[in-house]
Amino acid sequence: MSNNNHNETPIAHLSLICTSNSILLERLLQTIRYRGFQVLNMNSNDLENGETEVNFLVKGQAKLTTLKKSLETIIDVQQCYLTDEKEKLAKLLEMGLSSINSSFINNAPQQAANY
Amino acid sequence: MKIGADLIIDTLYKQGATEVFGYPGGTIMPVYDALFRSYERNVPIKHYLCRHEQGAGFAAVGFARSTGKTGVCIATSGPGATNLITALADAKLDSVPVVAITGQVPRPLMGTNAFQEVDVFGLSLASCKHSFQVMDQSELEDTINQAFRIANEGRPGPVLIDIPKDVQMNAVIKQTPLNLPTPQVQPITLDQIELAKSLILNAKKPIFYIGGGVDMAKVSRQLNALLSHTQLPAVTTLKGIGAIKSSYPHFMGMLGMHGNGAANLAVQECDLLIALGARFDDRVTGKLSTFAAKAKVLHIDVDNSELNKLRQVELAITCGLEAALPALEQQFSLIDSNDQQQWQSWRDECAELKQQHQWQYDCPAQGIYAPALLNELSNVMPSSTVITCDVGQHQMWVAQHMTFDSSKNHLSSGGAGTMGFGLPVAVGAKVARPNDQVIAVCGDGSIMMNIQELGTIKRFNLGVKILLIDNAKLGMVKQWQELFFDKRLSETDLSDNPDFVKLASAFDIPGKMICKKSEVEQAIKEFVEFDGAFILHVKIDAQDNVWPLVPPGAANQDMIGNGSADNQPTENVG
Repeated sequence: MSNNNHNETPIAHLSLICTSNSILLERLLQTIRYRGFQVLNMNSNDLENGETEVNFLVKGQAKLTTLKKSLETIIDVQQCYLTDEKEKLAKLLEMGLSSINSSFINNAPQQAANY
Repeated sequence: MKIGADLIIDTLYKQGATEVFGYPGGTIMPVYDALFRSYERNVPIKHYLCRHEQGAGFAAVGFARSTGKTGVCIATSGPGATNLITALADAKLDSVPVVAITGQVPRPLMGTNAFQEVDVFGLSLASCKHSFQVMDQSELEDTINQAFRIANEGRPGPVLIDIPKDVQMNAVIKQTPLNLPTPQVQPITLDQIELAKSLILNAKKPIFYIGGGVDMAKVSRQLNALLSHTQLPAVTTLKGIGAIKSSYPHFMGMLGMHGNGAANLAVQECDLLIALGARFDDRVTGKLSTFAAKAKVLHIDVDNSELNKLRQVELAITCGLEAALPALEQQFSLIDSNDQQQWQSWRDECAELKQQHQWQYDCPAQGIYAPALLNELSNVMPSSTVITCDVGQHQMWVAQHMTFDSSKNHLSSGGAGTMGFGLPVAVGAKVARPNDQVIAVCGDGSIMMNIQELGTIKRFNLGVKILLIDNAKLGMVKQWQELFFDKRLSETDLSDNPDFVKLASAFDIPGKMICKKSEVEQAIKEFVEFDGAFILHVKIDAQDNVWPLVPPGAANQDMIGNGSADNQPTENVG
């Protein structure tokens, strides 16, 4: 995890469930850059049923909802979860991207309340 | 023995792609050989050899946009593929279903800087809706089928399939499906429809803002029925032109940077903007924060990423217009007369704006006034005529001064604004609609960018008419230099243009040049009535500019109307 100063530019976490294929990451990265965001960190994990979970920590001034919706229009993307609330993000960063999974994001409001 | 290239042809044929555009070369030769053999194999596909891959790409765009079918273009690897990219980027921005097939160097050579090897797949990521590279021959058939599906479903767009030469040449093996996910189609709900209806009925000054999505969803008929029920004012984007019948009394025209003054002012005054298949493009909105600032917005679009992208809206509905518009139309089909009457003062206000901002064609000069000429052409040409445009001043004059009853009859490069669009797109449109008149309205700058397609017109004896508006300038750039760069006319002079009539003559295309207003009526009549390809070269005064104009960064109500530097007004801005 980098120690970049994120105070000035908003950061957000995206967790995507995608159909696995060899050019998936290229496609996602191109969309993220085009929509005005920089990737700070990322990882991907193969899931069952030929799916891949990809996590991104991104920063940028552009509209996060537009990024999320743009990612959702990619054929390979099944689901996309966005977290940009500071408390949840802090916890995600503390945990490290490798430990993040979609169920955490799904239940983020409840789980975050437990921390 | 059936090889991969045969399977490509078979699959294209099954998809209904019996007319394709392209240009052969090294890595796509197996496909061209299969095309050659397609008639004897009983899968006949007619190939139109264009004279540049960009021309082939745009011909596919013209074929698609003039019919609603999928356009197909083919090119070799390397420069052949890169030449396609501009047309594909144009198709992406204007949501046109195109399937592009490119050859690639054989798999063992990929990644070695082989001859004519370019990573076109990488290039296509930013310029296509989706792209494939077929590395496993067993996926060839389904890749092509999926490409056609993806190009057409949801928001249409171009799909590129890059196929290594050895995949084309190898014997066909058992084919397997790709198992791509199929997106869920979101139906419109009764709640959403009722909310939309409620927003409209509670508005005092609602106006429809119609984009290209209406025609793409093939619901122009339902839109016109909805307008007929409500009798509400309506404006269109450049791509929405033709979706509303020109006879609709409350049609205000095109809005935006070069929109009609009445359309812009009505939108600025409305209290509800009903955006259907439109995307709040910067050329439409002007200064975004001031665009329809008093209005709530109801936005319906098939592409969820367009909703709330630039303008926060009161009601956003992600839904194909093929579902939404019939549902809305049905809701308003029994509209109460009191409900309809409540908007009468708004209609009157809009009618007054229309009256104040009528186009003026009574130019006193002896030279040819392009808006008047285009209006004359619009009045005499058959209503089924397809007009294609290049990009620049003439493009805006076409949008302002010609009328269309179908968006498939007005093919203009909207999002990308690609010079050189008009001629090859006319080629594709004429192939698709051989019985309709097809006229390419070109600028003297733009036509030179794809002038080689005169060769395609000649080879296939396509009766494409060319109306060349020549001011010996890159007119739109020159206009901006005059207005915003202190009249420093940097590199916009084209006074050394060729003799275009002679040039066309070299391709056996007859033509005529006119430069006087008195010649217009007869020349237009001959042009429209001539049977076959023809070029009418019209020399106009370089001082003529496009008005009104919303200066960059300005609000739409701050349009410049009658330009004091010009000797003829185009619009009475009151």
